[in-house]
Amino acid sequence: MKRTKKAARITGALLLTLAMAAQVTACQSKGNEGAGEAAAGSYIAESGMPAENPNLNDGVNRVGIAYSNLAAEATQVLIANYEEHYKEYGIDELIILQAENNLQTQIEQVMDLVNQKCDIIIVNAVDSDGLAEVCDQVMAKGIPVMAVDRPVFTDLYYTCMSNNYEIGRDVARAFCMMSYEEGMGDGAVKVLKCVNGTTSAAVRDRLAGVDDELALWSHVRMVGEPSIEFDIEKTYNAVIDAFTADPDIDVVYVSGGNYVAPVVSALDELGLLKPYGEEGHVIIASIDGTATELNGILAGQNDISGVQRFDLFGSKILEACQNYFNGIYVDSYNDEDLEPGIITTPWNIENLKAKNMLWGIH
Amino acid sequence: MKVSVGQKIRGFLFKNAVAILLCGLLCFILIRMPSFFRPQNLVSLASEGCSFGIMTIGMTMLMLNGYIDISMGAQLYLAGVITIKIYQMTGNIWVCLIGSMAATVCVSLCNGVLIAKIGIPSMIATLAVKNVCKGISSLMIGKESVISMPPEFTMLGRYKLWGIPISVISLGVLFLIFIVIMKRTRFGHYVYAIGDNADACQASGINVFLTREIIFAVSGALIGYAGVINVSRLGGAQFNLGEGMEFSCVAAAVVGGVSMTGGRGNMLGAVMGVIIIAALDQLLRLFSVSNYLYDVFWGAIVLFTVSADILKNYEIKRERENKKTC
Repeated sequence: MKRTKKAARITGALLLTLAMAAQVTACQSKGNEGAGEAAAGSYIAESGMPAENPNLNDGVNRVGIAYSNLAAEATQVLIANYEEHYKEYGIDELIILQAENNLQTQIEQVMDLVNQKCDIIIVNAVDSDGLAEVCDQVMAKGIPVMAVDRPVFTDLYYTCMSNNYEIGRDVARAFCMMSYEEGMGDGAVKVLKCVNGTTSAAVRDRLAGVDDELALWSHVRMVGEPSIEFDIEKTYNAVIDAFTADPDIDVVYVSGGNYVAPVVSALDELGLLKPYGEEGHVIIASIDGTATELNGILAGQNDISGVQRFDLFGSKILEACQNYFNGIYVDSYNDEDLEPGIITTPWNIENLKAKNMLWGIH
Repeated sequence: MKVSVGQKIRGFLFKNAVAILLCGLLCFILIRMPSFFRPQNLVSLASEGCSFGIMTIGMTMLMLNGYIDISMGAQLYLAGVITIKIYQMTGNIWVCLIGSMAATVCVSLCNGVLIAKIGIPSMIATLAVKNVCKGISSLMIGKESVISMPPEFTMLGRYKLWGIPISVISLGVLFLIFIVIMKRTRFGHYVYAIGDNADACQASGINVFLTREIIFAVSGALIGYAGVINVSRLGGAQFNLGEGMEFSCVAAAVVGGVSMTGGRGNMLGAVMGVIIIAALDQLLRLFSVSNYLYDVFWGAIVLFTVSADILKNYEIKRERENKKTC
C-alpha cells in the first residue's frame, strides 16, 4: 500500500513536470511564430505595406507620445506644436506622457500607450539603447513607432531629429573661425569644452562633431573637458575652476542652451565677461537655440548658438502620422530626417529672427 | 585599569580621524597643487562654497541638538524658485530675499513642530518635508528645467567689495556672529545644554521647545538667504537645485567635530569642516574625477565622517569608564 502511494506520488510529480515543460515549450513556439508572422509583415522595406495594426480600425485616430521629460524649453516648443495642430493632420486624440528621465517609466508608458489603443506611438527616448527592445515589441505588433529629437537604436518607422554631429562640427567651425578672425590666443586658441551627460546620444554626436572639427584647426587646443552632467551649478563651478587655473582660455563650449547662463555668470564673477572685439573676450558657443542663448547673443554676452530646428520637428512628425492614416507609408523602415542646424551669431541673428527661423525668440 | 599602547594608539586614531584626514589633505594639496593657495583660488573656493557654508551653520546648530535636517537641499530649491518668481513679479531683489527667507522659515518651523513637539524622528519628518518642498518647487518652476535671470538679478551673488564677492563676506560675517552667539550668549549655552540633556534642561526651567523652534527658524532663515545667494550667483535656477546638499552640510559639520548625537562641537569646527569639504570638492573637479567616482567618493566621505564620529564617541565613553575604574 505504501509503495503504491509512493509510486503514485512520483508518477504525479513526473507528469506535472512534463506538463509544465510542455506548456513552456508551447508558449515559446507561439511567441516565435507570432514574432515571425509579425516580423514578416511589419518590415515594409520589401512589401511597402505594413502589418495589420491592431488598433487602427477602431474609428479613432489616436496618437501617443512618450516623452523623456517635458522640462526643456525645446520640448515645450515641440509639445505646443503638437497640441496646436494635431487635429489639422487628422488626428482625433493625442495622449502625451512624460517619463521624467526614467527609462523604466518610459518603457511602461510605451506599453500603456499600446494598451490605450494608440495607432501610432511617438517616442523621445530617455535612453536610445534602453528603449530599443520595447520599440521592437511594439513594431512587431504592427504599431508604427516614430522617434523625435533623439534616436532609438533599432529600426523604427520614422525618425525626425537634428543632425547633431554636423551641428557640432558647424559650431566648432564657427568658433574656430571667429577666434582666428579675432586674432585670439597669439596663435594657440584655448578651448574649454564642458561635457554634458554622455548617456545622451545627441550629446555624444555633438561632441564627436566638435572633436572632429577641432582636429582640423591647428591653432586650436583643448585645455579642459569638465563633466557638467546637466547641472548648472557644476557648469558654473567648472568654469570658475578652469579660469582660475588658466585665465587665458579663449573659448567655452557647452552642449545645451540651458548651460550658457552659468557660464556667463561665472565669467562675470571673474571679471572676464568682455564684449566681442575687446581684449580678453571669451567666445561662448552652445547648441540648442533657446531663448537664453539667443537673447544672450543679442545682449553681447555669448557669441554662437547652433540652433536646432525644433520648430520643424512637430510638423514633420504630424505629417508622417497624417500620411500613415491616409495609407501613404514610408518607403522603408528607419526613414529618417536629420535636420541641419542654423549657426546663429551676432551678425545674422536679426536677419534670422525676421525670417522666423529662431524658435527661441520671435 | 592600565591602558595598553595599542589601545592608546587606537584611541588617538578614533578621536582624531578627521584631523588626520585634514593633515593628509593639506599635504596632498601642497605637493600636487601648490597653486591652490593662491588668493584668487581661495576667493573662488569661498564663493563656490558660500551657500553650502551658510546652510552648514544651521545644520550645525541642529546637530548640536541631536537633530538632522535632510530637507535642507529641497528648501534651498524652494527658496531659489520663490526668489525667481518674486523677482519676475516685482523686479526687486530685496523683496525676493524677504519672501524667500519667510518661506523657508515657515517650512523649518513646521519641521520644528513635527520633531520637537510631536516627536517624529528628525530624519523621517524632514524626509517627508523634503518631498513636499520638492513637489511644490517643481510645480512652481512649471515646465521649465532651467530659468535664467537677467544680469541685474545677479547683483547679490556677484557684487564685490575689495575684490571679494559680497556673498563671501556675508558668509564670514555670519560665521563670526554665530561663533559669538554659540560661545557667549545664553541662547548658545541653551543649545548645547539641550543637546546634551533635554530633560534636565526642561526640569531646570529652560523652554526646550521654544529654543528648538528658534534653532529651526534660524536654520530656515539661513537656508532662505543661501537660496537667494545661490540663484543670484548662478544666474538662474534648475529643476532639483540643491539636491543632496544636506549631506555635504552634515559631512562638513561632522568633519568639524560636531557630534551627530548632540551636545558636542562648535561653530569654529564647522568653519573648518566647510573649508575641508569645499576644498575636496574643488580638488575632485580639478582632477577631472568622473561623476560616478565623484558620487562614490562623497558617499565614502559621509560614511567615514559619520563612522569617525561614532568611534570618537565610543572612545570618549571608554576613557571615561577607564577613569572611573582607576
